[in-house]
Amino acid sequence: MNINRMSPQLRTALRDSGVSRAELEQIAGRDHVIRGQAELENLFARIDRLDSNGSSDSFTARDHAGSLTRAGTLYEAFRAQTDSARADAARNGGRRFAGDATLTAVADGNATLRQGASGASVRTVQQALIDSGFGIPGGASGTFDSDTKAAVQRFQREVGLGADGVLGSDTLGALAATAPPPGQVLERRPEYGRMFSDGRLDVTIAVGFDEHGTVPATERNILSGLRAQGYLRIDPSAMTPSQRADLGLTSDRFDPNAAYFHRTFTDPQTGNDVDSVVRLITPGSDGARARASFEQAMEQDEVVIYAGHARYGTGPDFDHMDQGAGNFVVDGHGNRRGHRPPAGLRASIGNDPRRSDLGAVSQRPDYQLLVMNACTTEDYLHNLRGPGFPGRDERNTDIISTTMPSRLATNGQHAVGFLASITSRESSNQMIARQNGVEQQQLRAFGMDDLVPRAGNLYSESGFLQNSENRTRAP
Amino acid sequence: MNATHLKTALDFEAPSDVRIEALEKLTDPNVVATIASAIPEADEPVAAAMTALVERLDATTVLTRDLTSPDPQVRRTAAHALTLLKDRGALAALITAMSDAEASVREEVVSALHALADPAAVDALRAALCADPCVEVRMAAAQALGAIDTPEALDVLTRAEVEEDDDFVSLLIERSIRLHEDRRW
Repeated sequence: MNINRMSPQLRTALRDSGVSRAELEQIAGRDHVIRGQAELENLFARIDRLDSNGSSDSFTARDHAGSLTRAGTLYEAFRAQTDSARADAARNGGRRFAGDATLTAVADGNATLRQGASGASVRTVQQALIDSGFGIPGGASGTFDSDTKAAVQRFQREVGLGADGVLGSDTLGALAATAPPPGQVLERRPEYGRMFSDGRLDVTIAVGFDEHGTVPATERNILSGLRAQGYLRIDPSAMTPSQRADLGLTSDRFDPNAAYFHRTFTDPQTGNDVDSVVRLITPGSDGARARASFEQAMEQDEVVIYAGHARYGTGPDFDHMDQGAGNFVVDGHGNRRGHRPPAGLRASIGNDPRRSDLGAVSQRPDYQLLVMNACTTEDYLHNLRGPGFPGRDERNTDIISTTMPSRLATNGQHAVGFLASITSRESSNQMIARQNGVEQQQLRAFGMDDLVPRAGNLYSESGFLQNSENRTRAP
Repeated sequence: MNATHLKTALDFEAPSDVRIEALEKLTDPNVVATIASAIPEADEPVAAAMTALVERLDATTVLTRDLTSPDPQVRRTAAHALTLLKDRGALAALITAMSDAEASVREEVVSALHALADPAAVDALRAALCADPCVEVRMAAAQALGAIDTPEALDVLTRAEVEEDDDFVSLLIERSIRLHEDRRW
């Protein structure tokens, strides 16, 4: 059941009755999730109240004439999806858990696994998480540590469950339906077919501001990487209208404040030529202008890669940390460790923790891959697919974010590294492993060896689980 | 003991006060490059404590010594740290290090000179922009000359704009010339 395909009438009726989109997403929006029956019936009861104008609290699948009520329709559809998911789980990931007494108890709702637990059952679950793309820095150690809890939370968020980090029946059921068969890994892939089908790949790389003076090196690393990949600098203002149109640089898309680069590559799968057009946004001396350029990029480009500061969770920033004019606010709350943005920035963005600039992004491509390369941008995920950014969900937005602070000194390399992976049609597993490796190498070079294992999980992905080009393979 | 304190000081998941306490206990001057390079990603109070530490450990002396290390990685790391510290006391050592045999070290050294934006570096930067065989070093020199607000720096850029045949270096030369023009405006 995909709530984005629900009839507008039902959507309006549900919304008017107080059923939030997030709540619906949790229950009906992810077709591979097996939910607890009590939670389902609670939703159906609420939907049923719509049918009876609030006169009944019970869930009735059929009205007095024997026809399906709306609640019944939703229930039937959901049950079909659930049955299909259960059958899928029994064939695939569920085989990992068969015969394990502890996990059988978890599946039956008679036990849970949480931080502090250890043993073979924990190891089995850890391996299922890792093989599904939810990395754990220490690997499948058999100890349910804080990194395992974080991986469980990441998985729970992806499948629409409450992110409590505890492995209960719902989470185990969802993992059974998600994980590949034993001995296989799930190779997750961006929707390359959708990105390349029109023969053009529109990319933005945006560099944020840094008070410490790292911007020139970041910009240089990006230019150097583009050059090495065979990109040529282009000047759209000197091109004919026809040439510009060929590269998608029509007047509504051309940003005079950005630098542009182009190369033609061959799609390794189809053999077709694809024009890759990169716009490079740098903070320069006008942060507000760079911020506006970034907003335009979010509206127009299929791949948006940001490299810079995140300002304690607020979002891409193109001017000094105490100023808000160059800040593209994704989330005003501050980061997961409780750090709020500096007072000057808070004042400048109106001291409003609910503020998000995503709502101002009025258009967007059919499919978008966002690489949010700054400190702990995983904190943004809920907003990048939240109601403040209408029209975005797992099916049209894939996000690569960070689980820890990423080094500004390496950001430029990461940005062009992801671009190279994308034009090579690499899986997200491959591109993330590659960039984690780059970060680890840099940390070693700077004597930060203690952070190296953690950086093996620097990048995390979101939204890829349901992609059409995914497949399973041997590790 | 220093290793334990260093680990805590760099642990981004530790509370700020714990990290600051660990920084205050560090005494080994050999940690300055590591600490300096961690400043940009640190939370504000931790970054301030890191800056105080590298000053206390006389970072510039340590890092300028490291610029002559036989290990290119040590030289590169030292130059990177000097970029972040922006201490004018390192100027002469940086200009000398412009003749380093490793291009990646020269690139970092030019970055450190960029951070200082000192007119005394124009001649060395002219040599790098006009003659260094490495594109990345020329790019860095073009950027650095944009930060030095003197007619001599602009003159070097204007002449190099005609000579340079790499489009990517040219882009940065153009940007630096525009910076000069914007300042004059």
